[in-house]
Amino acid sequence: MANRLYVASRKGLLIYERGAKAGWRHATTAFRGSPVTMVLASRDNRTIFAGLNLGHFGTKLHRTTDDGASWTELPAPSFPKVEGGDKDAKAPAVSAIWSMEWAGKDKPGALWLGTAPAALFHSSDNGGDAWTLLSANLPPVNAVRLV
Amino acid sequence: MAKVIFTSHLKSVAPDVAVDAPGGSVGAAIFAAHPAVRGYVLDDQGRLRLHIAVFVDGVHVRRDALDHPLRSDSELYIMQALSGG
Repeated sequence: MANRLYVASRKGLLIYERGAKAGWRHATTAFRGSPVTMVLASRDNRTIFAGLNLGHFGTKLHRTTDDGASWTELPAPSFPKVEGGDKDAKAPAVSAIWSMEWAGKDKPGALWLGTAPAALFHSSDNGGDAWTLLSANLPPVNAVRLV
Repeated sequence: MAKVIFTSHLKSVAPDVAVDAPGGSVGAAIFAAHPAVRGYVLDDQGRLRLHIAVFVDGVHVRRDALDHPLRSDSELYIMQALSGG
């Protein structure tokens, strides 16, 4: 039975733990005050990813490998630059991280990530240090369950 | 040297005091002053993020802000725009 509960909220990443008798208790809050759109933890809870949407300042991705004691900002997934994109309001840009999932037990460190606007990114074996766009122009949905 | 002042909301990635930067253009000055701020001020395509406001010598630069010229003694503010009512 899981003893940790992660709640991605508009005001931060709320972390709850199951007590021996008293049920769930709030343990800590990371990214206090910042909108968190996605959270993904490893089975041992040592590695946790948090996708943030900082509004004015864009989409960010953070990772801890020490159970939240320290966080490191990773390069956020982004669309490749298109020619003239810096002057074209319609050129794509990631506005939110909506979904993340581990690629499987046989692919340690590999991850899938879904964004808005709809696109699928993959991090092959580096635990989120780099992302490759696999497909864009998916159907216009904002939430994707990756399985 | 031009002066660049970032909003305090960027203090995790940018200095929260005025910093010197070469004149030239707004874009050059921002990233010379602190390159880590790039992904916070620009989007995937290198556009100024929609709700970032740029003020040069007290004037809000609304179009092609990154290309806007700076004098060697200009004062550049990078702010976040607020809206609502």
